[in-house]
Amino acid sequence: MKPTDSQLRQMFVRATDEAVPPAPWLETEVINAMRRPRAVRRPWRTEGAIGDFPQGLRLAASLAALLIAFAGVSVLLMSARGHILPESGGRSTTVQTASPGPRVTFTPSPAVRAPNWPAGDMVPAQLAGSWQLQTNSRQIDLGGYSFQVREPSRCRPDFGTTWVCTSGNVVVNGQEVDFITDTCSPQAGNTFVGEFGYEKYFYSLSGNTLTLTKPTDPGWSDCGFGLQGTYTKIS
Amino acid sequence: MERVLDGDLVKRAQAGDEGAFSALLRPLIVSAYRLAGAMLHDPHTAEDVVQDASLKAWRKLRQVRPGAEMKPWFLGIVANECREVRRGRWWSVLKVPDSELPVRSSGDSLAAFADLRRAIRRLRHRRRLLLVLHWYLDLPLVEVAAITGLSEEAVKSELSRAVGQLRNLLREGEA
Repeated sequence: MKPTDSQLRQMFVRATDEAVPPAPWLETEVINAMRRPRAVRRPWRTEGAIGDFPQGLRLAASLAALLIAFAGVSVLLMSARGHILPESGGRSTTVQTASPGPRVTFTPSPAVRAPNWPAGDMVPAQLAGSWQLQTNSRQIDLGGYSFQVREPSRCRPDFGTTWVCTSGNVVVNGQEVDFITDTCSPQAGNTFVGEFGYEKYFYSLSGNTLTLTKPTDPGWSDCGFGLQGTYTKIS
Repeated sequence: MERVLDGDLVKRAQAGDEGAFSALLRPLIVSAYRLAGAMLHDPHTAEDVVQDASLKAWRKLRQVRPGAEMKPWFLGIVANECREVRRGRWWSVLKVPDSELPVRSSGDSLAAFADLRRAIRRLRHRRRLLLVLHWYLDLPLVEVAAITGLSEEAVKSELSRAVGQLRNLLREGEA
């Protein structure tokens, strides 16, 4: 049966929604990029021409490249001659080249709340800790009046956020939990609605499983965090 | 009240105040990302497009006329960036296959949405942009017209043609 225009529009929206997952970190990343010095303000994947850097930096980069090339050739030559560095016990050394990515230590804010936050208390003990989303690598840290969201595969350290996608404050009021950040502007007339710049969720806990549900009422704030989902406690 | 504030921010941003520019840009990022994502069907490229468009907006801020609104101007830049990406040589080779998109539906609706996305991707840039702005971002025709530089009448008739073409493409897909 041929869909009406209205039905086709609904299908269009749902099909497109599938292709556009929420990107709660983007706003912070873009704003941070704007605040960086002009010389390093580059898009993170699309560009990167060294020609845009000042002469001094280009010279330093050239020298560094020469040194790295020289070191590489030296290592190759030594390997070819069988010069493997011995340990005192006579065994060859194992050189660790891979290092884990930087890990952010989550430090909850002190137990004070700002007067203009929505009603609520700090995160209760059963909700405090690190939670891992069951469908991808996103994690939420909760504690005190603070939250932090990270998703290592998406938050790039070259953007100066050191794996942190979004962070801010949180208040809990019964089963309601409100995520507050200064990057969520209380602007009317677009997707940002609300008075304080916060996004409201309802939570339920079952053992080590946390479920966050976002109210669909358009009157609630929408900061684009996209935190709804089922999480497992990891620490 | 808000317009006066925006106008003041634009003036300050044009004078080089990055804080003012951030304040103008911040509320537009989500809309810009949704626009780019809907145009490209690739969230990673959509993020890049928003980033590029933000830098371009900063560089071209002097083009914003006094009293003009930031939103249609910025979304216009995003739309142009999307067109450039789709024109790019690598886009035709590297575009994300539909099977790699995150799946949130199942069964018949999954197949129907995949067919619809294929049909949407076959629409020409302008028709796809009009559908995305009006249907997906839910913008009124007057705002769609401001973003695309068309008259409201032209938007209305081109939208009608876009819907017709989308229906035809869906029928072709079913056949």
